[in-house]
Amino acid sequence: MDLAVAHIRIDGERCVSCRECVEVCPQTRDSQYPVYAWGEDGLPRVANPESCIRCLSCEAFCRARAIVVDSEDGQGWRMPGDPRAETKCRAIF
Amino acid sequence: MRVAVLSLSSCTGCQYVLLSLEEYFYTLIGENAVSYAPFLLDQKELPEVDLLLLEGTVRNGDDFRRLREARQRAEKLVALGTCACFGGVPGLADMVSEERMLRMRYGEGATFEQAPPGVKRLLPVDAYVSVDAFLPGCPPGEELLKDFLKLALSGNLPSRMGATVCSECKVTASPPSRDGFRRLLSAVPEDGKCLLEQGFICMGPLTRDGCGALCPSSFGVPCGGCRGPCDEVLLPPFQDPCLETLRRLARATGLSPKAVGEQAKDPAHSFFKYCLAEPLLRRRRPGGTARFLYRLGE
Amino acid sequence: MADMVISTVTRISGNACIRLIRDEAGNPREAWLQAFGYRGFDIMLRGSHADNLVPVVSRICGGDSVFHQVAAARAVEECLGMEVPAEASRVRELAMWGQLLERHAVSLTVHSLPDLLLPSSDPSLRNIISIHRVDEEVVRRFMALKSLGTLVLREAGGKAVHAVNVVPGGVVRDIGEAKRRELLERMSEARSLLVETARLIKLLLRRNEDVVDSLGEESAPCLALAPGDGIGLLGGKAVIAAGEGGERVSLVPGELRASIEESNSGHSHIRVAQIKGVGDVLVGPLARVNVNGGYGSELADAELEELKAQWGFPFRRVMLGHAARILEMIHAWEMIKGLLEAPPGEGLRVTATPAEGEGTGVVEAPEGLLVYGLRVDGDGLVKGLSITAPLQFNIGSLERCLLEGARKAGAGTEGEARVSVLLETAARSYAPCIPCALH
Repeated sequence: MDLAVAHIRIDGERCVSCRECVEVCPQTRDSQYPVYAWGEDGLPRVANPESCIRCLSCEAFCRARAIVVDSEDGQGWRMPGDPRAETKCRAIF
Repeated sequence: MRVAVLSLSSCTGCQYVLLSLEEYFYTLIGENAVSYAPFLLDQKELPEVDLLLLEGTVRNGDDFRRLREARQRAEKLVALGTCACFGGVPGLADMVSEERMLRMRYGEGATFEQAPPGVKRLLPVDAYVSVDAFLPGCPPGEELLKDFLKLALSGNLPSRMGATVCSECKVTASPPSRDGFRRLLSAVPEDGKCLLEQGFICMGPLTRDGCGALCPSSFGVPCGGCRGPCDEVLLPPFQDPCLETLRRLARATGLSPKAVGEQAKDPAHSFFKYCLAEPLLRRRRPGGTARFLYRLGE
Repeated sequence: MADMVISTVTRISGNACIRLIRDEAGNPREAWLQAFGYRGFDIMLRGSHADNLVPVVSRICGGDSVFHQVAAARAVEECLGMEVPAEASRVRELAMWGQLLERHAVSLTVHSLPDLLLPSSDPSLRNIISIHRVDEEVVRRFMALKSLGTLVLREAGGKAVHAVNVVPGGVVRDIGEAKRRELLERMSEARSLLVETARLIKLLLRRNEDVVDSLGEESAPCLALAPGDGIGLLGGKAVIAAGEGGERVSLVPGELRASIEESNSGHSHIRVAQIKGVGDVLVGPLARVNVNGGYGSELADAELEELKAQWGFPFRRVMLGHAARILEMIHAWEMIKGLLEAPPGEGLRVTATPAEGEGTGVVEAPEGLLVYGLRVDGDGLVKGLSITAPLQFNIGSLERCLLEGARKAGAGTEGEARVSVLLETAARSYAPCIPCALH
């Protein structure tokens, strides 16, 4: 995966159009080259991925877990947590 | 496969779902040897089994003894239902100590000679013994349970990448209505619109998916969080069910999070209804336990 | 002599054990139904907003969830003076009859039928799984009644266990016209099945007459709601009837709550509820038919006449509870049909601003009266909550019945195994709901 430019994947099926990603992204508000733009179809659109600073705010704030940044397997990138929590989360159906 | 169903202190709702599986219930009892299930069979002692479905929470020493026995005799132990997975609604009683609760209910000095010792605090079953798989839900839906059992009875314990209830919700979020913080008791939400944006407490963004978002999308009732907290709450970035919901409500109503928090006067019941007993969230319980107790005086 | 302990009692809802205390000669002295693990719902709900009351109390008992929800909602409505639209009451009632059908079907078929059907076989064979192995069709037919109740409950309540449709002030959704027709179709198919099942239960009771007689009679006054035109689950005054021609006391919900006296039993976390000045009362399907004299629906009343002729009226033998259950299922079936056929009304819910108040919610749950008492403060937060569950009324009667059974069985030369089977059969004839009593 070429990491020169951020890969932002938006799952349109999951998105509920709450616009939080657009509001929370530090590189979208008042930015000349905003990362996100609001699409005609009521979904956010990645307009300028090269502006992304990989703060992962959009991923963390997305209420529908519809945004994944820089991940080939689509699982997102995560800091390891408490071992018990890790085991538990792996085993939940 | 040898299957057993064991219930500790619970509402028995999960057992009713097992009985509601229609055709699959006959497959379950026909193709597998159900060797222990107190609500179905007269078998009094738990035999060695391959798969044990465990529902309910540990309320006293008796439950604990049965849980330990279950762990020893079961090859695979499954926590069925939110009570077993996260403490569930009965976990709300963790705001009051066992002694105080018994004192308030049975009066000063009431003794029960044969009562098993109580537990100091309520915990989900995986805090006591190791659990091989979790199926939260209050109760888990028929389809979900069926899918789970199909996989589990074929020998693999399933898990799935969890998203949130919002990802399954059919309503689209419209611009915030700015009507202020509201409760279902005094306001009727507008159909087909996001409840959170209308100022109602909806736990959808922080609750594990799998229920098809039945409450918010088909009934217009805010999500209470019955499938338990999602991965992002239990793992980094450790979202706080209370603060995160207050932040979103503040965004929807145009008030400050503090102002919304002051209007939502029952944080434990509103934001931690199904997971107050979960030790991973203990530090995020609003204001420790003291804040819940101020109203409890007799 | 050492106590005899049956731990745990199987084929009931919840965990409990039976302890039989015997004197030196081995004669039973006392019989207890013991259950521990009080969960504190009435205490942990203090400080909760009235919004959260309904979903939380639902989790007291999965099998009676709608009844807890409606009782709590009615208590909130009385606190705040809300007038529930007729249409909302109708949807609620549909959900309640649906759950009653489901609940009775489970306690009859899954819990008690094996005892009646296989009275002399080994306990390890007395369950629907063994019956299913021998005769698949029988189990499927019985479970069809349960599915029917579940179906109605799912449509009217939104979810089969822990419904989401009930909110203080009414309900959220109505049943659509198409669904209504579909349900009616399914209901009309069930008629022959219900009649056949009633016939079978009556036959089985007659065949097991020795068991029915050995469990004795219950002479305590009966307590049930009396809406006036047969058996209903909501509304009407609570009536305490002492027996045929005996005195009847009518109480409005508030009076009923005030006259309930709870005391500790010392050997179990189930608190004993009595009525001031009356003492022990019997609630549940038997009490309902004894108080009201009939069901108020054609088919159920016709079946009732036959039963009256056979066993005498009012019914005093506790095991006739099973017969009362199947008749009530027929009544539920007729009520559901009637409610589905009635033209839909207007308005589903009303709202209210929180205010200080006090209220009582009384409903007939499948196994008897469920009484909620509630106080809310000016913010709509719960200040005080009291819950009295059916088993709390019935526990005295149940323990008397256990003792009676133990005495009769112990008089012969039968071994402990025989006694324990009889005691469990006795407990099951009350269909005790342990989770409700340990709320």
